Amino acid sequence: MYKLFGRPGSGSVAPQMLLEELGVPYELTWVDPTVAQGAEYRRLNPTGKVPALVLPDGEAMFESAAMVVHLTDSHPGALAPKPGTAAHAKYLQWMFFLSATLYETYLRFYYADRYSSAGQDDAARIKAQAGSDLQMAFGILEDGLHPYLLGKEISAADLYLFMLSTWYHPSADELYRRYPRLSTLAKTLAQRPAVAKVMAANV
Amino acid sequence: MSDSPSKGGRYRLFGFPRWGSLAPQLVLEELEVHHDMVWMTREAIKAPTYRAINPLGYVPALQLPDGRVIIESSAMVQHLTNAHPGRLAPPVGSGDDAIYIQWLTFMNAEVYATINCYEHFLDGASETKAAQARAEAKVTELFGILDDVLASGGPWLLGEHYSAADPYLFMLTQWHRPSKEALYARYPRIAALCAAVKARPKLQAALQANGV
Repeated sequence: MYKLFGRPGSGSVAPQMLLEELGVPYELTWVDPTVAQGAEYRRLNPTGKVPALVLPDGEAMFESAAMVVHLTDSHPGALAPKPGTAAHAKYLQWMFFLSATLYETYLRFYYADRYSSAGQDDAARIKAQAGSDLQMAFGILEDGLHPYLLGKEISAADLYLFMLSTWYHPSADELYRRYPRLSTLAKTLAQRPAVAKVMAANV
Repeated sequence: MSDSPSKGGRYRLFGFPRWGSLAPQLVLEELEVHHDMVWMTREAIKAPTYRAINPLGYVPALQLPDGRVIIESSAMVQHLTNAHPGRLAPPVGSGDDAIYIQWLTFMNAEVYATINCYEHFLDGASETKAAQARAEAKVTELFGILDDVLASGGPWLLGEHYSAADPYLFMLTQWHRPSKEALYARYPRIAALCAAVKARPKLQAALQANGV
């Protein structure tokens, strides 16, 4: 059985959505930040952050986007194109764009004081830059939605984008007002039973 | 030479020497896949002909044999090993492949993203020293995680088996500040891995073209 370690509303939401969508049995454990910093948890994720995923064979992995790609690769058919195809290459592009650009920019936005050895002195400016980087990334994603990131077919990349959209400050609704295609996507995805179930468990 | 996934077309990789195109180029060379390397200039990136290929104007970009273009260097690397299976990555969907994807994601989303912050943390003005110092310290910490993994099960990131994640790590070390030598002195297993990548016969021409 899969074992997912996370925290409500964190990066564990996307892999949890995938596990629900795929209908595979899994166990969910909420991990307190102090526990995540401990040696025992770091054996699952050496960065001391959530999420971590233990695979059925006992192997532990981290990085939420990697979990999502692994879950679609190992359960082919429903939420991603076939590995090795050009369509799958586009899927990978969006997954890496979301994790390396959008997710990272959120971290700079919310934890700006951690990004300079001057701490709070630079925080306001780091946050301002992150705020404008967020708009650039969401602009690229809005242009990419037709109505899904891969065109007519839904994929796990849309679920990952949906998770990231819920983190927007001051609210996801504010983001959806700016980006109408993203807004439509969010409404569509929120109606999926697996997604609704996970969102309800993450408040 | 192996066939491209869609016959007729060739891969075209748009890049700069030593930039993010380095890892996908090394993987194309190692897989012996037909491709054209297109060296860009700052002017060429802004030209309408390139915008027609990649509207975002990003480099690197990889044009697939069917004409589609993808960005994100680690997506290129993973796609190439998926499309040309058997040599540079574990079987798709396996537990070992999960770890391979994990390292590519970690190196892109954490290490590469932090290296980018050497330049892009602040809004372009003068007080960047403190932010750069923090970014350099954080990158060094993140490389430490990779060195620990190599210590407990090297010599490659996936243990006994060389994979495309290894040239990706090699690429990241090229950008280290103050120097890659400083990084290698601190992390001997990363140094050994990079020396072994650099010695691979199939990579010599590409390494030379990148001046590394």
